[in-house]
Amino acid sequence: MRCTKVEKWISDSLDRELSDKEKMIVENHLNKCSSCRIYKMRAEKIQEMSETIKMPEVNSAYQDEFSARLKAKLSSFKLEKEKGGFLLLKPPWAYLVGGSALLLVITVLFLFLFPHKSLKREIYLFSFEAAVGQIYQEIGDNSELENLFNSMILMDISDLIEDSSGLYDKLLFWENLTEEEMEFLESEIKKEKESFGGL
Amino acid sequence: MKDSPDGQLVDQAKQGDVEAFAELAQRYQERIYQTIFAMTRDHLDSDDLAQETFLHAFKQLKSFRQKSSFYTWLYRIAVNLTLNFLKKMKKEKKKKTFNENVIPKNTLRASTPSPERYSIEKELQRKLGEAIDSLPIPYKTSFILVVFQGMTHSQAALALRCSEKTISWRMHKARKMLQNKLKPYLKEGLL
Repeated sequence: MRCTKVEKWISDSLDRELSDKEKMIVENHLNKCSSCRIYKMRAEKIQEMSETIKMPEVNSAYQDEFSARLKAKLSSFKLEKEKGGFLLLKPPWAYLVGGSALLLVITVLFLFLFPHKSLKREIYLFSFEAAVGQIYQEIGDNSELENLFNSMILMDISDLIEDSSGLYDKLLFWENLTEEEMEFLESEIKKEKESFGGL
Repeated sequence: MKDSPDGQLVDQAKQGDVEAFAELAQRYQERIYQTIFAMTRDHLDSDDLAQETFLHAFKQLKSFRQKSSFYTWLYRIAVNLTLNFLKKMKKEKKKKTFNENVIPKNTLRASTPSPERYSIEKELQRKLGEAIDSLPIPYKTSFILVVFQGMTHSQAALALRCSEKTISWRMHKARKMLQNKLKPYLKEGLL
């Protein structure tokens, strides 16, 4: 039996954790090994002195005061728990974060389900027809503005015609039209304007 | 309520009975305080940690399944809180001597020891206190629970969440270290 093993078993014996068989093995070894006998004697001395070290005494006055403080804290904890339920277990900043997140979700849902008119209008402005219609709506009954807008469109068309080579003669497009054709064209433009105005 | 077994008080306390828990606390507050004090050696810290131990136990009572005794479970909380506290301490506290608030029992002797022998033993006891205090925390904690609180290796293992073999090993290492530290003072004359 090695001395290192016996030293450990000596420690176990001081804690009354050694079996009878192990005790016998230790005894047999100690009969032959003087260094282990010295080790055991010193270990027993340290154990004896340790057991004489008394823990700090806690007098009854302190105990009563300790109990009173503890009861007050327990009652206060219990009261808080009954008031607020599980929410009180969370830190205070959690309310702010949670509230903000909830508000954000509600706002997004609301905007998704009930979009504002201005948003609708913006979507329609992306199409040419909607854009022209929007302009005529803005012009309203103002004939001066209407004539100005029409002339701007016609000027743009003429620019386009001028740029395209050889497609037309020197004469402008509408100069080739008869009066009747011109009237027909104007009436068609008016009809278009009225239909855009309904948007 | 004073005669009620621990298990009954635990069941009542789980229902929110503060008085039942207070009775449990009163049964163990001295031992818990002493264990914590042995590790911290500061009254204020020990008082705070002891209060915290019982408060924490009350809050976590519903999770206590009574697989171990209430006493062991309480010790586990106390030791964990104290170890966490010691780890958090950044500055080196001026260490009080281990025996400062301790009143050593007089050993029973057939005859009154001579003054010289008494002072030698007193000195050895003081050195022993310092040596115990200087042990690494895992060894010191095990030593406190087994030697000062009278726990078995099994109970200490439950309190410290380790195996019995680990406790056995730590006790062996602690004793070996104490012997090495006290070798100059352990003379055959004292034995």
